[in-house]
Amino acid sequence: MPIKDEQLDRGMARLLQAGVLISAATMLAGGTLYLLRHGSEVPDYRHFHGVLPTLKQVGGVWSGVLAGRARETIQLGVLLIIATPVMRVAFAVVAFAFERDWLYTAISGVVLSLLLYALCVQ
Amino acid sequence: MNVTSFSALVFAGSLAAGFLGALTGLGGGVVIVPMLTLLFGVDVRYAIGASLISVIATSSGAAAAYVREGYSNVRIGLFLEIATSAGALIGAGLSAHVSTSAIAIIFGVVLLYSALAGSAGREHKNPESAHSRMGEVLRLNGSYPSANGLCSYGVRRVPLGFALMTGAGALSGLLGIGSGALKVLAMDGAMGLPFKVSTTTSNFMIGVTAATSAGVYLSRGYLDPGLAMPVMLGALSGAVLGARVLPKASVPVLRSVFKAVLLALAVEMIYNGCIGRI
Repeated sequence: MPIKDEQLDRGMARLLQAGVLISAATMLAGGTLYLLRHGSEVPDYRHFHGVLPTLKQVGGVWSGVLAGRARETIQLGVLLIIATPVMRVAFAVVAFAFERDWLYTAISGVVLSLLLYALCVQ
Repeated sequence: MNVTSFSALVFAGSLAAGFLGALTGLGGGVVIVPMLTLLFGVDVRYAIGASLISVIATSSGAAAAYVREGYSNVRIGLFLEIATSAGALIGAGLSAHVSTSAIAIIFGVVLLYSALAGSAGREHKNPESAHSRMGEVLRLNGSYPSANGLCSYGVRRVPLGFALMTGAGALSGLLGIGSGALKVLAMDGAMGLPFKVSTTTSNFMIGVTAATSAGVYLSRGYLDPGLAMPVMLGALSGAVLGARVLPKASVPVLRSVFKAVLLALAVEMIYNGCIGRI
């Protein structure tokens, strides 16, 4: 059992790292474009307007990325980083089920449902 | 100030915050929100959104290194995440009904608390003695590598730890921070876990808590890409450096440095909240 736990830990670590790297690379790409195109503009974060509706949902972000837009590409990085812990918990559910550790399959299942509720239902 | 210089300055500040946050286990979020609001005049809602994104990234980035080194306890992390995720849903839900001045004041109080709790970190002389029935049923006991080989430990006062974690989650959702200080308090103080296990398991959990809040904030338009980009990339670079340095770091010295920064920011946040400038 300690060996299996160790494998589980290592799998989780690798998953986390991959998610962070992919997200950071996406953000760096979008960020470079953003600075090249909008670098000399004056930012306004003093007043809250809320971001454009297209930046609030996955569909809008994705079509912006396909159109080569800078802000949407950064926002894809944002969505990817949010997805990383979700994937990690999903991985835990599967890995504990493989270990036949039903207590922890259930515990990670509850955490996953709370996360999905926040992301999808709200 | 144009977008390029603004991004460069925010990147540098976030790098420093991420570095100290990872080393002390308190997370960069507690510094990033006050830095953005007080120094750069960013609306607290945008600041909370950007901070949350960096919190997820630094937590996941640093956690990957800690897990491989065998410091964090995945079972304790997952079990307590039930409490923090539920709390985060409550906190993020509340944030729409609370004024920005009130958020600034609550933030300041949490900062004050983080600074004061920052001095309470201690190593337990006999970690194995901290056993409880609940800890055994839930198989929360574990071991970690120390100077004298593998050191095993137990847990106690699980319900108290669980309750504190719900509060930590709610504050995370309301303020856009990882609530590392409260998470460490719950594990190190209440449940009797060794300090390094508490800080790294806290770091490991923070991403899930923050992702829960971020889901709520995304649909409210708090997540601005132009701000999130320098904050996340800066904080992440800092956290990666921090995780590299941690095994060699002198924790007590760093905590007192961080504590002084937190105290100053706390006073500023409370003052600005009270006069209605935030």
